[in-house]
Amino acid sequence: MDGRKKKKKVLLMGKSGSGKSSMRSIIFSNYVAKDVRRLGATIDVEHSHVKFMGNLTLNLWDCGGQDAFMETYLASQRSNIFSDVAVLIYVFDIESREVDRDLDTYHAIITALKEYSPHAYVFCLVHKLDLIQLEHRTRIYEERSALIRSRSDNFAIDTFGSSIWDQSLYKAWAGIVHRLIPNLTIIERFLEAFAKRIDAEDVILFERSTFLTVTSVSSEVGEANPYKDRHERLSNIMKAFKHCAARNTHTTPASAGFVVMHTKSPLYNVFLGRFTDNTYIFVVVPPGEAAYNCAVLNTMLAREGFAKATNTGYGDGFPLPAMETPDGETTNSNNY
Amino acid sequence: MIKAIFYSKFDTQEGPKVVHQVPDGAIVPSASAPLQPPFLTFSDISFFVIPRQELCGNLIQVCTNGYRILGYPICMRSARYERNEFIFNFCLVLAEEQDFSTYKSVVRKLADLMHGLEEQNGFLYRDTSKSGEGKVYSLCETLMEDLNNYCECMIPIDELNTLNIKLFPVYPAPAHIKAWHVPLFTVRYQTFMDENWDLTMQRIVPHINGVNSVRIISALADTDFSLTCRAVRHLLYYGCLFLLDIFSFSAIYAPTAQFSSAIASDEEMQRECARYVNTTFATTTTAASLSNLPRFTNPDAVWPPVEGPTGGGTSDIASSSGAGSPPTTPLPSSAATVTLESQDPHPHSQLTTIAERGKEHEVVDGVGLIELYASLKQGQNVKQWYMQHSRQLAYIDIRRFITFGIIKGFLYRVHKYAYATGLPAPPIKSSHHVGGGLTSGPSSRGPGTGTNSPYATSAGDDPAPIEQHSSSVQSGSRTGPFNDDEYEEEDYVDDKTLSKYLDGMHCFDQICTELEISEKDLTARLKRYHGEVMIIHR
Amino acid sequence: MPQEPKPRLLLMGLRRSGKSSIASVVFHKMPPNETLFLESTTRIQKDSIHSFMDFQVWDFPGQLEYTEPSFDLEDIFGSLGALVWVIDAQDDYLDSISRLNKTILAIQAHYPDINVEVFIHKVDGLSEEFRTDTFQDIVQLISDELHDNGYENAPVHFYLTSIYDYSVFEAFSKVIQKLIPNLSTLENLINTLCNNCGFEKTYLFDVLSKIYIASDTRPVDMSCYEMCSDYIDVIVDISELYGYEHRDRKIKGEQAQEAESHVVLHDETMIHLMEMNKYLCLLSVIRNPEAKEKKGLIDMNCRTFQEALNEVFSRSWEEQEAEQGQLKARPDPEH
Repeated sequence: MDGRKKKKKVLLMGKSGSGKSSMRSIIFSNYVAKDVRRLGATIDVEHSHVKFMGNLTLNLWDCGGQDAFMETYLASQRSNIFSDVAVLIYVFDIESREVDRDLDTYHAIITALKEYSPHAYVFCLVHKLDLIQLEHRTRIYEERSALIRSRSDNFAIDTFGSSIWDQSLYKAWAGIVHRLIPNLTIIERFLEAFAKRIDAEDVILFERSTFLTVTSVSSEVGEANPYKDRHERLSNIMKAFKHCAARNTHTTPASAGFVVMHTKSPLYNVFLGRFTDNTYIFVVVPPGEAAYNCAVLNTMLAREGFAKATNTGYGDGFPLPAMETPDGETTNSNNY
Repeated sequence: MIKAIFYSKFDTQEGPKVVHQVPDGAIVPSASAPLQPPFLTFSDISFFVIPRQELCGNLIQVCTNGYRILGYPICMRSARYERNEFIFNFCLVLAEEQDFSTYKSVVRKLADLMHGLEEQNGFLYRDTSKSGEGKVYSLCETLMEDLNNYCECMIPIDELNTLNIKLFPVYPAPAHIKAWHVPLFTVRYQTFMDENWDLTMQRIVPHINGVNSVRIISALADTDFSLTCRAVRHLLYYGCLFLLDIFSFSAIYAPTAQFSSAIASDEEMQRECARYVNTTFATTTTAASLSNLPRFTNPDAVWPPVEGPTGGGTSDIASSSGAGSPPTTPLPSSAATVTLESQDPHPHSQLTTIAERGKEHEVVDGVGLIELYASLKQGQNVKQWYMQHSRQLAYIDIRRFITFGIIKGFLYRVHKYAYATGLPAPPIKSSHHVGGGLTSGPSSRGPGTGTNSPYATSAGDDPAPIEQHSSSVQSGSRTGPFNDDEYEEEDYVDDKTLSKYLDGMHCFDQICTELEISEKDLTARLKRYHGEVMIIHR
Repeated sequence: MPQEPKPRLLLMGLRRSGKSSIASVVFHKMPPNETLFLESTTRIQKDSIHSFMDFQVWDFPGQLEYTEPSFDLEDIFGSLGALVWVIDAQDDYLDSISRLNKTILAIQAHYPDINVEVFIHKVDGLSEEFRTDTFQDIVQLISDELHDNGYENAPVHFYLTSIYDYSVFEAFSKVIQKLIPNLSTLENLINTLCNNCGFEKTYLFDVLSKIYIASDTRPVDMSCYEMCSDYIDVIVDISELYGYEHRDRKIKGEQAQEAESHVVLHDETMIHLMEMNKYLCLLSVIRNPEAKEKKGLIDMNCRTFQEALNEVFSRSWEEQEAEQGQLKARPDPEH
């Protein structure tokens, strides 16, 4: 097998109507939140392949959550479903009235997972948090995650509160994909050095089609930003605009995108551009037009350096464009 | 037999679910029928019963545990449903080995009807009755009972909708009907025909008697030819008919490969044949044959001959042996003579009496019948054959004798095809000197008794009563004074029209029927064709 | 700046027709789906909007009988502005129409200059075809009845609106534009800019409400409008995230005082945004490939436009003061 090609089986499970397919559609299929109301129920298991960061393929198993399906997953389908799982994403509906029963089902799933894929990552999303009044959200979420942890046996799980109506969904999924990306440390080291060089307050790497945050680097000033969820918010903002652009240029959201975006203001300067085939880089630098223009040029140059860095010595890098025109257009997408 | 019927739907909480089942407990265990072991494990097939949305709207069948489940899942999309969709399926459970072709249309129809009902007023979605209760359940119950007991059902659902289902056997597509085909009933249509039948059908059935070709039937009944064909084809589809060829004394028949395994070794068939062809009352029926026969009781209109008061199926051999009464003709004008086969107006021809009388009249026994059949061969037409065996055939209805063999499949008709070689016509000589070319046997004056085959060189040697003009025809002369009138009459068939049929693909029956001329006339006409014409027998 | 008589937008209509929702979505940036939880308005809500032009929005309770003598009509309608009548298109609208006609007839004698703007609202729930039919039906009913009462050519305008898309902003834009004293001057300025820079379409937006107060006079292009409107959101949102003050921030040099931003989309369309003043932004859609090469020139032209614009507004405000706050259309100022 080609070492660069990573195929990871991701199980998406949870009670019926908890919002599994909705979040999948929003994150990976370019749905907008209000459109998911039109989705039908998932019958049995719906398989989809999501190419993420080029060489990482997520093999998503969206498992219908009706009782009858759950029973077959745990019985006749057990080995088929739970073998070779890289990640289990379990979705809890915060509105559910049968919390105990949900947890029992969850525990049964965890037991099966332990049996067939003991090294899988487990992420639990406490979903539909928007239905809880703001003042109670944190408390209820924390209570619920404690309950979930108590039923997770020896899996070290990550829990996220999420809602399709705000950036929390992006936060949760960014956390998930962050775990799955190979050679992330190389990327992070590179970005750190780069951010320091151009005096950036924030450098964020977004996956191109989902706009999920791959990784980010912040300076001290950047860390002082009062908005701790700014990265997820940016995902949300940019994806919403991408939808608008697609709608108004008569194309599909999948093929819409940005070549470049510049914003200069008295308090900050922002640059967004294509970094690799599968990523956008988002750079925030302090005021000063000349310095900003310089930073933009440096980012362009850094793309090549980054390509080399991930190419030499470490075979497990991103597929990077063979040649790029100055405005970020790529001429060849699979150059290996 | 339907073993079970169940109604399944996708429950947004529980998933695929059996809502109603007949009999109770047949598909999923039921508290109200704890003793009934389920026929199968529902979770094994639930993916096929409630498949994913894209597969809905198709007939599905799945076999498990010796059962076959037939269903037609329907997925309806609407914002009024929870999760925007309502998926349901009415399934029939049959034994796996059972032929299920007739049930396909049942599940489909049921699905269509339920789809309509659901669309009109949410018939299914609103049905929240418990398993084993309510309208939908009783519908399933009645459906299964009626289909199993009566093969049909008519279940009123509301003031607008009724579930009408009938189990129709599915037969292979019937052959296309040609003008020269001769239909013969296998059933007594009188017993099930009523005034609601198709008009064309009502008009043509009296003329179906195993003698009339489809063309003649349409002429006699004064019906459109293509409608007549369709009606006949319909009857053929349901097995009410056989299709025969036009019988004539000039036709050639020969045994097929099945001969030895059919009548030759089957005594019962020999007896059946004897009953069918026996013409015991030759002398008594002369009057009847001339009188206007009640058509509906013509025993020949039905195969097999019906026993009973009107049965007996005896015919008059005298008519076929009589010179002036050809059994069949392509010309409507001579239709009146067609019904020469008469039945005995006095119903005393039961089996036993046939046998008794058969002895009296030296009726041919089984071995004799087989010998007679075996003596039919290529290159010898019925007339020649008859002349050779006239003694044995004295009490046998020859047309029925031949027909019997065709129906049973151990005899086949050797058709004649004309083929224009494209060479100039050879000089007219005595027919039997034109090797391979067109020759003409002597023809009788009656239309339809036809001409001889080219091999019938011996025709003239045999002074049979039906051959009165053999000598004059045998001369084959184009300018023969005898034929002058006839030529003028026929000449409306020009060479161009005729040439279309001379490609070796059209049999004489077809040519005669389509040009509406007798075989004799055709033969004569072919002799005057501008080019060489070969006649092929096969 | 004059503080006293601001132009008034009166939101009227039957109860539950969506008046408060419109006010909340347009003037308070409330997400449309949250308007479901708005409570009924029980008394007149007076909102002062401070923007490029100050005005008031009065949200009337649906059940209020302001035609009764106890109400001082002068108090309500005295200040020149617009009456926005909201009709719920998903409901039976005959009652609403007769109330509207009564209102129009009551005020027209005294205040003939007031604009009557009818919002046929909640059309998001109607099919395209039904929408058109409803529109025509309502227009016909109202003009017939006014005609029967001898009121010809009433200054009544109709809009199909929904808070779930851009239509309500578009409609409000049209309403507001009628109240802007120097609209034609602005349009002339924008036309000049557009033609010189090769812009496809240019809008002058009020950033807070996302109402556009003027645009070039080419036909309205909804797709351009939507992209511009959404791009404002993007920039406003990003500014919210990064426009914080920090004492350790190393300023690296000179920076213009007004924000400037542009994005190039996958199909090479450029959307250009330039801040004009505290309230207004100039948004342009540029499809001319040459224009991108001359980005500096575009920026400079926009700056020139900005100066002209601010001059127009400051002049008109001076004028207002001189005329004791009477807003009135005046001949184009020359400059």
